[in-house]
Amino acid sequence: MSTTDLSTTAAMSAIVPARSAGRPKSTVLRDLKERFILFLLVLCGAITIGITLLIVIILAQQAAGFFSPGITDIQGHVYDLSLTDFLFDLQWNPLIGSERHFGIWPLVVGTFQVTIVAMIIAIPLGLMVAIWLSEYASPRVRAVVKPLIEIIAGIPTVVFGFFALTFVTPLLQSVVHPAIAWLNGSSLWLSLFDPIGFRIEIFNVLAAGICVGIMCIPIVTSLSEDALRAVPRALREGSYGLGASRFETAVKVVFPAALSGIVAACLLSFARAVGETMIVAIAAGLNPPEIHRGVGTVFAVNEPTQTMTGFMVSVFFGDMQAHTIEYQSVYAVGMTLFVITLGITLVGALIRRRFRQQYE
Amino acid sequence: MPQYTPSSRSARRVKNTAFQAACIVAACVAVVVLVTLLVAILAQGAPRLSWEFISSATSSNAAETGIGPAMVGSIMILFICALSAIPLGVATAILLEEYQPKARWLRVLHGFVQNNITNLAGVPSIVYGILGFTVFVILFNAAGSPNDPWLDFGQDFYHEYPGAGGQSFFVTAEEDSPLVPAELGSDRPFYLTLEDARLGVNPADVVVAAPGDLEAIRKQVEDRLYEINSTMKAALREATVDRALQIDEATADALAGQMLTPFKDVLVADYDEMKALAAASLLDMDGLGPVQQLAPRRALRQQLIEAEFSAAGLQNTIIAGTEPLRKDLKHWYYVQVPFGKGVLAGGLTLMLVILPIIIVSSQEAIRAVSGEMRNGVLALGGTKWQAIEKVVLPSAIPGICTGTILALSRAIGEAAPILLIGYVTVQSAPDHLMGAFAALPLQIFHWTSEPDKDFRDAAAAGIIVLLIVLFSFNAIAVFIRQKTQNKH
Repeated sequence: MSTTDLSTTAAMSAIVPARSAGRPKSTVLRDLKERFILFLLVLCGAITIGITLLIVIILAQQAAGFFSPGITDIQGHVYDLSLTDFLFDLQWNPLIGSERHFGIWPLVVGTFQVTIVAMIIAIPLGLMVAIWLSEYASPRVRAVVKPLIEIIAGIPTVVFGFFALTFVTPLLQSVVHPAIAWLNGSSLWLSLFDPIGFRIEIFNVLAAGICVGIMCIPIVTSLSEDALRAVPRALREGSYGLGASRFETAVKVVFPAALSGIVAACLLSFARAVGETMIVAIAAGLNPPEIHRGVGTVFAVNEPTQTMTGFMVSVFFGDMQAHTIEYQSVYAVGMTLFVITLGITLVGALIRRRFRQQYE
Repeated sequence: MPQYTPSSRSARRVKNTAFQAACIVAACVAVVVLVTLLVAILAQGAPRLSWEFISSATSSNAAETGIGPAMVGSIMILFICALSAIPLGVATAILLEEYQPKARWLRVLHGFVQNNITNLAGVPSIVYGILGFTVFVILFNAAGSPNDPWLDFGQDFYHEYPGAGGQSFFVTAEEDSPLVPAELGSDRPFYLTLEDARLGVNPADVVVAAPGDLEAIRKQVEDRLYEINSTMKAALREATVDRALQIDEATADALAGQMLTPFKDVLVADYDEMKALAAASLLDMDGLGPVQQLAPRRALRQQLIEAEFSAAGLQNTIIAGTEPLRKDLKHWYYVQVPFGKGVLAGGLTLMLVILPIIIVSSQEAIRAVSGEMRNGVLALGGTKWQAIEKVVLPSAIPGICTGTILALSRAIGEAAPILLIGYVTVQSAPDHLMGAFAALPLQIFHWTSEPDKDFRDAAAAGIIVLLIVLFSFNAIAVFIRQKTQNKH
């Protein structure tokens, strides 16, 4: 290695082994070509860094515009927003009406309503399928079931949105409404709380959440299965040798050994659910939960909600004008979304790295 | 320590079986949901599926709407996405896998690029949409705007003169050339189409006439045709039974007479000729519903106008003093900066979405190539790039292809990143790189948002087409994977 070279090509010479003295002269051209190609490759790598930087810069700069004094709405009203309004106001009503509110929490709560319903579906189902595929299923069964699960991962989210709106919601309505009607007849139910008027609305948290959850199943399954299969055979054999059943081996030996990978898989699917756009834009509605009215609204899964992504879509399809508060609010919400998903991704990477068990 | 009594052993066995059963149920639930989804969509969309649906343009009429332009738009953005993402992704993968630096600070940088790609894969696609919009469509608002670009080339400029007879005539012009009103006795060549003007062929035989008399005649003719139009509407309403026009030769003739007779004395054109024209096109409209009648009715009206104007001597006439309009013809290679909402911006935005996926899958494919083969080249005195070019890439290509095809199939289905860039009401496929486009997932989203059930059916039919495309992509990927697995 020639590490004494401090010219601008130091970066390259550090990577490419320097030309040894014994090589014939004709290699000069070849070395030039090598360096040129490396330069191109480094350029491509730099672009990926550039993309991240651009995301951060654009979101930060435009979100700063949202908080700059004197920003106007589409009708010309002037606003003076501060970060405090954004973080501590409990209402989100940026688009219409005389009294506008710009507190991010309703959208965050809306996002987590959908995401938590999704995780309640995706994590147990996905993990059980993963354990079954890795610990129980025969190779032949696995060869059939695994691609089927992966097909779910290939279905576009707009299709799940359509499914949520035109199938899942009507299905929920046709199951829940008669059940409520039947329960209304029993006095026990009435003594617990008053269920009259409980209806699954056309746009609701539940259907959107269920479909986001279904979308997340293959992510949980395939990553967890990878983690489970990476656990060495010796551990399983030791467990069987001590007389443990398959269930005990899977749950008490293999599962804990693969836990870091499984947690990372769950976090990744969580991040995907938070950033999921089309399903919620189609099936969840346009009204963020009115959390200032009480905690109950947080749990109203039968009612419409709006997520951060859903809000962005609704503005995209409206009348967007640069430098108005409506337009800038998209960037502020986008920034929040980006920070949340990035945080989850980083925590996932950290867990995988910190708690990974090395079996060599 | 648990006590292993015989009863607890059977309890453990039960537990094991119960857990296995629960797992199988979980797997079945996932598969059943998938099957339900496919069947539900197939049942709703299949009746709507036809060649007409696939090829025709979108329409506000749910029964007539189609996915033609959206299909072409999707293919175009996918093509641009593939062209940009594959070289960039594979190159980055090669850099990360094959060029492991030795210097400490470079190793840190290398690790940073690697971690960064993991993070990029976790960024929600709608954030990429915002990024693509800000960078490609408006270029940070830094230079010009999509409507008034900072740089553009590849278009021809024309001035369009509205003729007295309702036609348009074009003359070639420069971007900023002043709008000259038509002058009496002008010998400028006027052309009937932009294409003729561009090539400078078939100049139209145009007369620039003085205003005044001509204006008066024109006004009279137009008033008359307006009235004919309303009698036509009334006549058609009469012949419509059960929302469909029922007409035979005799009634067509009678209706044409009914339409035109009140104007027999004032028409400039030959009455019999006009009547025959009207009867023929009315006969063509047999069996059409009220909405479907609109287009042929408009065509008939246009024919009558043209016959009347040419009889009045207004055909190929521009009234002196008519102000032209600016018009441009963009070639297929038309380029503008910022790109504006067009195919190029859409394709590049999708590239951002799938780039991390392509990089990661290419890295895996490259990592799977054995080190011995690589070292063999180096031992023979080959350079690093020669080893990559001649040995690593050829063996990694099947894996790269599989990953890339799967990534592209993700790109076709993505709607969120191009929400800001695509349109849903585009009537024709874009004819240049900056042209407005529709895409299949956007179209499906738009139709799903409509409360009308017919539009939902159209959305389901669109989904079927989208899924067929996706599944064939996946099938190709699986085929390549199996084929190469067998070979090794």
